[in-house]
Amino acid sequence: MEVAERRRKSLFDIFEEIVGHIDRVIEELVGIEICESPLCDVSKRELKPLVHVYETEDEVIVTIDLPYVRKEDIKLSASEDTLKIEAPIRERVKLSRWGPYQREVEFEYFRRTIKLPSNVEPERAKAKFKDGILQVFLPKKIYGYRIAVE
Amino acid sequence: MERETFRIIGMEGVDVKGAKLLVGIPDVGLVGVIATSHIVQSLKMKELGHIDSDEVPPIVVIHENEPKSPIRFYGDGGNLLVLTTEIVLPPTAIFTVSRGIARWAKSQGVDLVIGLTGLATPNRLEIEKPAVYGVATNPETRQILGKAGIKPFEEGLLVGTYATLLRECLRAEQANLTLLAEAHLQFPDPGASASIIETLNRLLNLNVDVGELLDKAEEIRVKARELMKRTQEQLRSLKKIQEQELPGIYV
Repeated sequence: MEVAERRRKSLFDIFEEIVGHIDRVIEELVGIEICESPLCDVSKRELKPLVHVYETEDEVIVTIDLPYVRKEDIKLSASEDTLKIEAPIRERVKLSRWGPYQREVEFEYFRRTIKLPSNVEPERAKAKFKDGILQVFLPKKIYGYRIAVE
Repeated sequence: MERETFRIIGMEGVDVKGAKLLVGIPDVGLVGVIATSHIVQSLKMKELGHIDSDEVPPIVVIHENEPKSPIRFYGDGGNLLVLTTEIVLPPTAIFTVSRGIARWAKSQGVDLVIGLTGLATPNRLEIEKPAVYGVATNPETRQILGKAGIKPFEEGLLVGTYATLLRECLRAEQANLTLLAEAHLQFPDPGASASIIETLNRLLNLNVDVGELLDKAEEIRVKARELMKRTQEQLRSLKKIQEQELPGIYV
């Protein structure tokens, strides 16, 4: 099954997967992000939300910090291995004379695509939102066969 | 000759005998940093001095066109001192800075070092008002805990900066009280900071209003994201997760 699946993917996809896997392993071991980037994109007026990804035996739980966001504005979509969040910020967040931007900058959106640590069944995912924190529960895809114990 | 790696600058003429020193360093939920920052602003405390060390990352904070050290002391003119930092300390600096603070506090006659931090709580989302727990290094301070109605942190592990500060205070025989508010591990938690401040109000007879802090909670959560991200990386490297593991065997 896995071999058949691999044949459908391009060499580039497989290479990207391997690089992603190595990055995650190094991140876990050393505790640093490989491609360090700030949590904002000034040109697009976007902020990347803080995210915590946690894995149990049965599901992947993604918790996302979304201050200034209304529940009804959240756009959430998932594939087998990614979760995408988009949400407009209720009030524009302004920062004045900050860091490399010695002028006022504004942010209007939270946007982030999160790579999941295991394949999931996105159609069975559930989400809840409380106090500006979004929790998404994604059941893991089950592979293999049940073996009877005699 | 041993290289001098820790210096306290600007505090030479300040009488800190009998003072209570509040410490806010990036850790779980940035609870200590948010709390100390709010206390400094509310009580209009004055900047007194700073810590310098060769092991502190090469960072200068610029406020209103003035370069400042990232680890600074503030005072209220009375017996309240605050030590706060806006940077995440690398593991080697944690030891040097903690040891330096403990020894300096002991040598200057500081009455009590109070560490303010968060206790990573998996079901934090379900908790309206975070509880605050305390660990004290000596029986006298444990009595104060009881009088202020602070629940003792009975069993478990503490990992990271505040654990090192606690240990170094024990070594230096400097009284230390570490307050831990139930908090989000990975996100800035102004609600937990508010609980800590309310506890300090009772403990030290302060009058710091937390209303403004709670009103500005969303703004703080947005602005503290980058610091929280760096703190997350540090907590991972320090294996903070050990705090949540089931107990081992204690003799």
